[in-house]
Amino acid sequence: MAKIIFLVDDSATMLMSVKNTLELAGFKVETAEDGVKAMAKLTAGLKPDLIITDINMPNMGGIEFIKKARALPGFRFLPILTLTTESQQGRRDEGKQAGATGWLVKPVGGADLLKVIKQVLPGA
Amino acid sequence: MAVQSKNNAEFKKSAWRFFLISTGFAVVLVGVSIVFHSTLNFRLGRYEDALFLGLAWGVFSVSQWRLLRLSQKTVKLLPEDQVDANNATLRYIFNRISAYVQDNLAFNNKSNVDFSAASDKHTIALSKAIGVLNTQITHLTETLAQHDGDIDQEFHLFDDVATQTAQTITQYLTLSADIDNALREHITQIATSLDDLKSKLNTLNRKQHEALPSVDNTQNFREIEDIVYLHLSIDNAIDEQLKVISYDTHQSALMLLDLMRHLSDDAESIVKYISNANEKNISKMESDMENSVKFIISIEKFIQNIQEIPDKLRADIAAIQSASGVIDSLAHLVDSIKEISFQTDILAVNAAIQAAHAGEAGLGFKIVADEVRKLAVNSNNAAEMIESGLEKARHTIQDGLKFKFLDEIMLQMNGASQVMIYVQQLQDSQEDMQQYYKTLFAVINQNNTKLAHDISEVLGNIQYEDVVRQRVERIQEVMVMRNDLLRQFAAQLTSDGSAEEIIMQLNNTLNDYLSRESHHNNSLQAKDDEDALPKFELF
Repeated sequence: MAKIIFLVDDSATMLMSVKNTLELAGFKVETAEDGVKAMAKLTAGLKPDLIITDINMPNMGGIEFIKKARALPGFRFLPILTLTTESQQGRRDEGKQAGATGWLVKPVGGADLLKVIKQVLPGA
Repeated sequence: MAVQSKNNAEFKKSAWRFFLISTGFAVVLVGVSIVFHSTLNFRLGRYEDALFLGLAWGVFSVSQWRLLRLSQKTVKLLPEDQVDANNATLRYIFNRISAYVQDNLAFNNKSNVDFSAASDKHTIALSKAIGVLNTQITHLTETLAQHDGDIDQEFHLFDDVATQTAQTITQYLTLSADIDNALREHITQIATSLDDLKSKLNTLNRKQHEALPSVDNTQNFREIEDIVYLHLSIDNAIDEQLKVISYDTHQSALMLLDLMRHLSDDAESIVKYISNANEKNISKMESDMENSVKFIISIEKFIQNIQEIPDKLRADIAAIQSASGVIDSLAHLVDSIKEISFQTDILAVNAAIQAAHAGEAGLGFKIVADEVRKLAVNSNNAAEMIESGLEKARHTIQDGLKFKFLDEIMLQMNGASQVMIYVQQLQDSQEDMQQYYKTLFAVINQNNTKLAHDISEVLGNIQYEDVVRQRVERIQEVMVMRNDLLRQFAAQLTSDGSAEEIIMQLNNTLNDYLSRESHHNNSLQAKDDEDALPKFELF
């Protein structure tokens, strides 16, 4: 049973890039364009094994999305990675406090991304 | 014709006038020069001045004389545009003369050199100017002589020029007569001009004040300076980011190119490997296939042989059964013979007993009875011999059949072992092929893994587009804000109020932009900064 990764980013290029990398590696990928749409999918019953989210998005940004997702039942220990152009320590701390599992700075090559995913999803 | 004659006459008259005036000018010039030199410490070394002036006058006179001669002929004038051009050149030369004079006057006034030196300079300059004038007139006369045209139409133009020249020369004569006055006059003129300029500037300044009564210029300029400085700072900040964008785009393009080259290499090596493998192995595979076909034909034959065995076996069994039947029936006969011989023996015994009873009469009968008894014993012996013979025959048949089967089996065994070899060879060949394809697939798989990795890296690199797009969006945002503030400032220039608020907002815009930009990864800084935060961090 392929693991499901939920990808949240407002950039179509990012979605295409990361989705293809993950699908090539054998994952099943679900996508959403912002925090609001992502929350809608999660509340509708999507149960991913990992969430990878951007930080700067319209309607609802990544930090707020992580906070809201963590509050959902069954999402307390789900690994959530951020994938963003932001790199400053202050923003990383915000992400950590919101409940992010790790911080990735764009751009991330396929091999590096899969290495990090293997660390947070040991069975993958 | 009458008009032409009249014009010709006017032309001659003007030329005469021009000649007289210019000759007079030259004479006066030389005279003035001599007078000045003699009154103001005329020195022996200045003879060359007089010589030069005399020479100039000579050249000038010759040209005047040529002009005069020309004027007495029927002159063919230039086309209008060339006349205009010549007039312009003449005016330019007169202006130059004027400039020379003014330059000299200005120079003398400034350096306070003695009047004699001033006069010398002026005279030399003037004589040079006359030289130029002379050349131009010579040129003009030559041009006039060379061209055809309607003299009536163009004559008055030349007349004007001649008049103007005469007036200018008169002016210079006056100037030469009283250089000091001219000097003072020029100084006064310059002073007046300066005053006028000053007055105009004051008027301009006053008008500006009237237009912007409440704006303090000093303050205004300071604010403009601040705004320009901030504007430049924002542009510098944007420029820094554009450098990063340029670097990122360049690096990304290089990486993509590199990865594409890897992809291409990997794909090429797969194709090469497969085509090589085909070339090398195709002949071996063909011979293996041929052998396999041969083996299969041999196996088929063997199988046919095996199929024939049951038929033979059935025939052999039937023959055995039939032989056994015959032997069995013969055995019955042996038993009958034994029975007959037994009964014959009993009969002989009985006959012997009866012969004994008969005494002498039975002696012959007794001999017969003995003979019969002997026959019975012999028959029994014969029957046993037949029986043993039949038994031997049965054994012999059975043994014979057994040996035949063994031969068959041996033969089949040989065939089977041969088939086993064929099967082994087929199996080997199949294993070879399996191994070959296994290796082929392993190599292809390895290359596919590399291809997948490279494709994945290419996909990762596409993320640069998002990084660059976000950076450009931030630039666009700050530029919109800056332009809005500049528009506000432009509107405020013509109204009351200070631009302090705008400067503050502009400053905030710059700081906000720099702060936001510092939150993001900067590949140019990260490249050189060893303490840069890691790209991947697990909390």
